[in-house]
Amino acid sequence: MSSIAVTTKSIALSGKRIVHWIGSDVRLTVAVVILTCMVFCAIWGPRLAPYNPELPDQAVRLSAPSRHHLFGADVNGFDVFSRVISAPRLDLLIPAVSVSVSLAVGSFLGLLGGFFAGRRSVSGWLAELLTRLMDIIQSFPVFIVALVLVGVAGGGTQNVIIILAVLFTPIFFRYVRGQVLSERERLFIEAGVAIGNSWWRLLSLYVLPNSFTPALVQASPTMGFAILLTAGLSFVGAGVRPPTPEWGAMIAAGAEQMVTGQWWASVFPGLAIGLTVFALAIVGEALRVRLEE
Amino acid sequence: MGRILSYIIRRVGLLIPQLLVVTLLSFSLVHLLPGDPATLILGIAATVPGAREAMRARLGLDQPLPVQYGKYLQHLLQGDWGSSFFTQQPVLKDLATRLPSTLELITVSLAIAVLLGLAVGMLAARRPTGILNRFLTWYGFLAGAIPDFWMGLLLIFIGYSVWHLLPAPIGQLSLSVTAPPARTHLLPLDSVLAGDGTALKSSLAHLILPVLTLVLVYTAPLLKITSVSVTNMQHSPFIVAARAHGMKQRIINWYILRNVLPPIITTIGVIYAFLLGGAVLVETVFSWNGFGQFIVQSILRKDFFPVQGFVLVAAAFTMFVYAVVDILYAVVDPRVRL
Repeated sequence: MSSIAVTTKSIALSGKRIVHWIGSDVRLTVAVVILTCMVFCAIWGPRLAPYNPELPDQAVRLSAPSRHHLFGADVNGFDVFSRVISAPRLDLLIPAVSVSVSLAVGSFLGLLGGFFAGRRSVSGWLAELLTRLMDIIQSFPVFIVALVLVGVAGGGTQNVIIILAVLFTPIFFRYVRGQVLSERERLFIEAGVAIGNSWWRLLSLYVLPNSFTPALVQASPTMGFAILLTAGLSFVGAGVRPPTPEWGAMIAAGAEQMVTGQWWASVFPGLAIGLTVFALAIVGEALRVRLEE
Repeated sequence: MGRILSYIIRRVGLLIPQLLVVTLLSFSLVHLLPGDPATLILGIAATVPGAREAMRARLGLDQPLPVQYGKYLQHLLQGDWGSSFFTQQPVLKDLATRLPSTLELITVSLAIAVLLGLAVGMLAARRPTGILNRFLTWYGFLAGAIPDFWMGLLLIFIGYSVWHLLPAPIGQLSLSVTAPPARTHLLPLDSVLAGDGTALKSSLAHLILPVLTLVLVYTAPLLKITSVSVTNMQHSPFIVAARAHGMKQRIINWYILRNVLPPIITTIGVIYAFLLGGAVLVETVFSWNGFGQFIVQSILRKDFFPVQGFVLVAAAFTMFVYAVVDILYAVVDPRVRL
């Protein structure tokens, strides 16, 4: 287990090594390229878009993919390509922020929950309470809870971020807590206690660095899951509202035409989601293999 | 056997406190709503002086919270789950007519996914580096990455618009077919009971695409857990010993299957519990008009008694499934501490 800390460090040491690592596995290379493109779109997408992604042109409604409209136009006359490359701004921002927040909060609480677990004191009680609370959050079907909360709190970017962050917190809580439970029994922790460290110093300098890896590895697939949830919420009209470009809402806008045969308005945003989530899963898997071996 | 029976009783008994916690949560949902339910119900009439207070009194919102909760529990037990502002129907009735079609959809899909997952997963585990396994790894990543509602739309496009093989996504029955009298609210079963061949054919045809969608997406985790656990199991000492003793492959397979069942049962339980809510989007795509779709509409309309009822049923369903998983665990694996 201490090798985890060492490996984490060695990865952080040199960018050259990271490049070599990414290049050594074709799947990983492809995934990193996809993600780089998506991040690039998130930053420059709306500027690069050949048409205004939020301004429909009635004259080109439902025109098929062509030289002028690479991915065709949807039922409202929006240029699908412009919207697909503009959407990552929200479709990456919402998952990235919500996962970062839940990673930070979940890990912090997991640290406390694991460190104080089983103590016959107020802190032990609170740790137990925290764990039960996380269990309760996790016992509900995620998508439904997200939907109900969005219904209660109202849609919009900020609300979706907060709600996803709350729902993901137990995931990281569990990983960190589980790791802390086994780490705190080890000799170097005992040594840390013996030389008179405060519990805060123990947690931040002794326990945290050795318990963080599994949660960190989980961040990548969780982000993929967050993208799917964000898109799902918008698909039923509970998340991001049109005309803001967002992949899930775009699929919804083209859904009726899938029945009549004009596939492009739904297929391209779906492909974008699939590629991104796929790439995140590959990266997560590669990180896991790299850090846990 | 007596040991297992007493475990079952204890485990089912545990459901009661769990359900109480759930009712507490569904109860607090009303108070989490930003708007005032009385204003929501009254609509424009809320501007009439005194009307809001009268409605609040009628709903019991002017009483202390513990009293309100007690009343809520009492009403729940009496089968009074409130009425939808929108359909004006009692919530319990709305849910009862829609739950069966969703259960039908997810149960059929899950059953197929389990059979496929187990069969192909065991096959793949024979050659961990073979082509089948490599294909399955890719399939696993893809199935996890593709939004299920998009997959549904894609299948509609291929099955209906291009090939004209399957019916349009307009629900559980073609428009030209009269629905059989609703006895079980399970259309295929109702058709059989009514001896209506046309309705049966139509309802089964409408089941194909949504089931295929769910199967394609949710077989992946089952395949993975099966092939991984079987691969690990094959190297365990007791299987090596069995093989060394020259036991037939069929018997060895049975040994393996029995021992990999616990993690697979857990996965099945998790997926089943997830699907009740997770099928919402697929239901929407196919206009299935089931439990999930009804609830999406209710949430969007801020029609909160149905939402409250839904949260209750969904959570109860989840807890029931987990209880069954725990019990099956105990039955399959005698080593589990009861």
